[in-house]
Amino acid sequence: MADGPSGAKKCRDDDVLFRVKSKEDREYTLSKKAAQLSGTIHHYSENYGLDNDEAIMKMEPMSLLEVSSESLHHIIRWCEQHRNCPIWEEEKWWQNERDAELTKWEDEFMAEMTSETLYNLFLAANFLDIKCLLDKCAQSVADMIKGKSVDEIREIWMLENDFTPEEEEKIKNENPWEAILRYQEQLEKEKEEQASQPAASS
Amino acid sequence: MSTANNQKRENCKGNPQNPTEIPSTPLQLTQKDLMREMALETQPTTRKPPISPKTLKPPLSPKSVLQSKVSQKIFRDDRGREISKAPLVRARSAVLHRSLSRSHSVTFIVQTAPRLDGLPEETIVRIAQNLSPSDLRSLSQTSRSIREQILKNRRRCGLTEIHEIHFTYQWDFDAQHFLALPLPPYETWNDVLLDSKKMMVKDTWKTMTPLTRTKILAATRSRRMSIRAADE
Repeated sequence: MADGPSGAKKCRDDDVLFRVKSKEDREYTLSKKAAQLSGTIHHYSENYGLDNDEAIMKMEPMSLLEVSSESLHHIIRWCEQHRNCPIWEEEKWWQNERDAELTKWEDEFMAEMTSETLYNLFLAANFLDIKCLLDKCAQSVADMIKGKSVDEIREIWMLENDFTPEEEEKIKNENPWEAILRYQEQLEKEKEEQASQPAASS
Repeated sequence: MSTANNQKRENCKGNPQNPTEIPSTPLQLTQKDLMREMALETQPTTRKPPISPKTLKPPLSPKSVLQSKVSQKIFRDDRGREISKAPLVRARSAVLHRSLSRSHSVTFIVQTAPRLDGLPEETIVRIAQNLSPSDLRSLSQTSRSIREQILKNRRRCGLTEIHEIHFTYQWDFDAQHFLALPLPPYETWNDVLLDSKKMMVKDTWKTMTPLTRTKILAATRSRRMSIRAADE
């Protein structure tokens, strides 16, 4: 696998390394700082007492059964590059606190991805709860949707048109307000029905 | 060994003394068949003159057939990005199916990306958050499951509150036409939100004429823009 964009950060010799294992049973390491970007790893560390360097150095690798080796490789590259950024809990920091160099690196990183790699990376970022990567993947997918017609989006993302012709016609001409109001009315009706059920049964 | 092989060869030629073998009888042509044969012989030939080896072209490879088929389109890569040259099919991301018919025509079905509706709800919401109202509208019309996810998470997708106004506004009208309209007396961001909420849940909105709605939406949007500019 390629090393990726130039200027990529890697683990240093003095880093405390966190051990992870892909679904293909391949082991990888990433620095403790980089691992902090993942909400899933953060919770795992809390639950397994990995709150100090000594415990991390003695740890068994954490199994990531939903993450492929290829995705994990990219995830680690991303996390190492962002290891000096605020930890996972701080939502939306990446929209403000960023420099031009990091933005350039991210753009180059995302440009490397094929749609399939991007899709798997998106799933992996969701599983590992890496919010900044999740947002970047979402932005990349959104860029692939922007300015496209309904049919073009269906074609690119292999979506099946499962609307009936009548529904499709209705949706095309609908007023968005009506659609939302209708949906809210439907929810309220469902709520009322749910509320009336226990009373009726009692 | 050689005797056995010779015997096998003999058997292949056929043994006249073997009762199971079908006797070779001469073809028996009916008069009708003879007439047809004669008619064919007397017809002028429609065959083309033989082609000399020099004029023969090598058959097209599947790749060049694909290239020639796609060379007439505007090209995009598998992420929808425009590229200047005809794309080669990428082995990693493309699922390729080829069927060769008797006439040697080639059919390729290229699967360009995994299915978007296989993504978890959270990811769909985040995609929606990065889309403009009109793009979100297009996405919501692609499939039933995606539409349901967007409507279910309508608040997070930006379909409610002030974004809803923006959504409706961009959906139906050209923004440039309405920016010069006089502003309603909104003093704060909260006023705008409150007003939009009132419009959404009360019957007032439903009874307004489309033009009145348009004016309010346009004014609200321009007000929102000015408030945002002041905040920044």
